[in-house]
Amino acid sequence: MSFTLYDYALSGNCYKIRLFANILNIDYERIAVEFYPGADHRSEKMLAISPAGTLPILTTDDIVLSETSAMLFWIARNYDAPDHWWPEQDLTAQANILQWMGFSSDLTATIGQGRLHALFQTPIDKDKMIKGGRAALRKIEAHLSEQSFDGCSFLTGNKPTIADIACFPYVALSPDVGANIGFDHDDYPAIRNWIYAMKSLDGFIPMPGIYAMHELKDHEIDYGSQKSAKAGASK
Amino acid sequence: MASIAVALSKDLPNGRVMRAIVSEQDLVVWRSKSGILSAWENRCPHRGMRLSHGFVRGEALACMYHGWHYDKSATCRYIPAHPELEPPETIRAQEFSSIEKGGLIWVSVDGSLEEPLIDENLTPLRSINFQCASKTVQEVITKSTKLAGDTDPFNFTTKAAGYHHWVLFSEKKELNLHLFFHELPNNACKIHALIDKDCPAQIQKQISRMMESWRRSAETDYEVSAK
Ligand SMILES: N[C@@H](CCC(=O)N[C@@H](CS)C(=O)NCC(=O)O)C(=O)O
Ligand code: FES
Repeated sequence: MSFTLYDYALSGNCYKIRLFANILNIDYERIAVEFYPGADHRSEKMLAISPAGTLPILTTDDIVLSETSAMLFWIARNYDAPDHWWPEQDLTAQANILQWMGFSSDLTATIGQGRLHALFQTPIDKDKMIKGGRAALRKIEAHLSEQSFDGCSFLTGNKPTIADIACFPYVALSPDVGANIGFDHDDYPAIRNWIYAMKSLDGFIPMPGIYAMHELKDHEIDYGSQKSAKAGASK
Repeated sequence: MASIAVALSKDLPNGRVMRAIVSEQDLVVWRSKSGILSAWENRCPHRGMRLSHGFVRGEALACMYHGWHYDKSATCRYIPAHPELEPPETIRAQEFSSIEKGGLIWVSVDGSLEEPLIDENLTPLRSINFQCASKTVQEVITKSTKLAGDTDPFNFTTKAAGYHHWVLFSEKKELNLHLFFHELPNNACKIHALIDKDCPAQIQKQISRMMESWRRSAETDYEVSAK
């Protein structure tokens, strides 16, 4: 059974669902909703579908979901995604995933709000947003560093899960919120490594602000690759 | 002012680009597909775009803006809008000396790249950013090592305290912790931390958390200051 996604191209939350569906190669119906300037997600018509008044919305004949974490879980289970996305038999992994799914809403509340403000001048408490966003980035940076000590590239292990999908967009989009507020990735090497790992996944798709690594037409000229050069830290 | 450690080698794998700042000099540091390391002024000779936003294309760095390609000698070799044109040799990014040693990437912006004296067998831990001057962090470290008693899992003592390079030693764990201080503009700094032998992930985590605790003490005045 396929689903319908009420979608907005610039939304990091909507992108979570588009990204995961593309990675799993799922066909679904997409209905674009004008979030700005129309605020159509809060129109009577949309509130009748989902009283939450937020995007995205995922619907089937049986279900209406307005939380991306629930959507990612439902998609993983319903489409029988490879086990690493939601490790069926591994309670510890599931608990860790839920932990980071919870954290993903802190990202929406800080970096996500900051980005809405940067794009559409929506009113926010700027100091609170900046402090909260920095704290969130530092928290995920510290965790990803610790993961690397265990040889793991993702939030809960060496394979990605729905927790990585849930946290990825607003971490990747943080530099768009503004300069000199501690949201650039220059100070976060573990985040950079993780973003690179996410962008390397089969089925990765970009969104405005999150470009693909090989988006530019690949044009490689061998200007002399000095075979004697130190191999460096190649992975 | 010699060579400054700007990153752990492991955090710049082949084919990747990063930004670094040394004494106010904004830099792009990148590694080609075959592993060649370069450090240039972070400015595209075309329209001034930050090259650290660019992409590695094999042995060249492509600017994100109009896709001009620069080879390892920082010379422009390809202009997508004029594919037939052989760009004049004078279009070059400004190069700085860089070297890799002991698991660290070193850059010099004053032309005086000296071989850093460093143990080659260190294990990289992590680079951590502080929103305060390195002097403040060093004071916090000195204080916290003095305060640490027998119950502290490491009980580090300061073995060497140079200007940029500190070594803390834990007799308990027979472990050296190397801290490379990297001063940044606007009263900020980084520590690039390495340990001197393979130590279990659990210990690495403890040290990583200890550095965060230094940061909490050092940054008491880290107020919101969106300039
Ligand atoms: N709990 C939702 C939050 C989704 C959310 O905040 N969406 C934003 C757009 S990215 C929204 O619709 N905000 C409502 C508004 O600003 O009017 C989730 O995790 O998906
Ligand atoms: S600014 Fe770099 S190619 Fe135009």
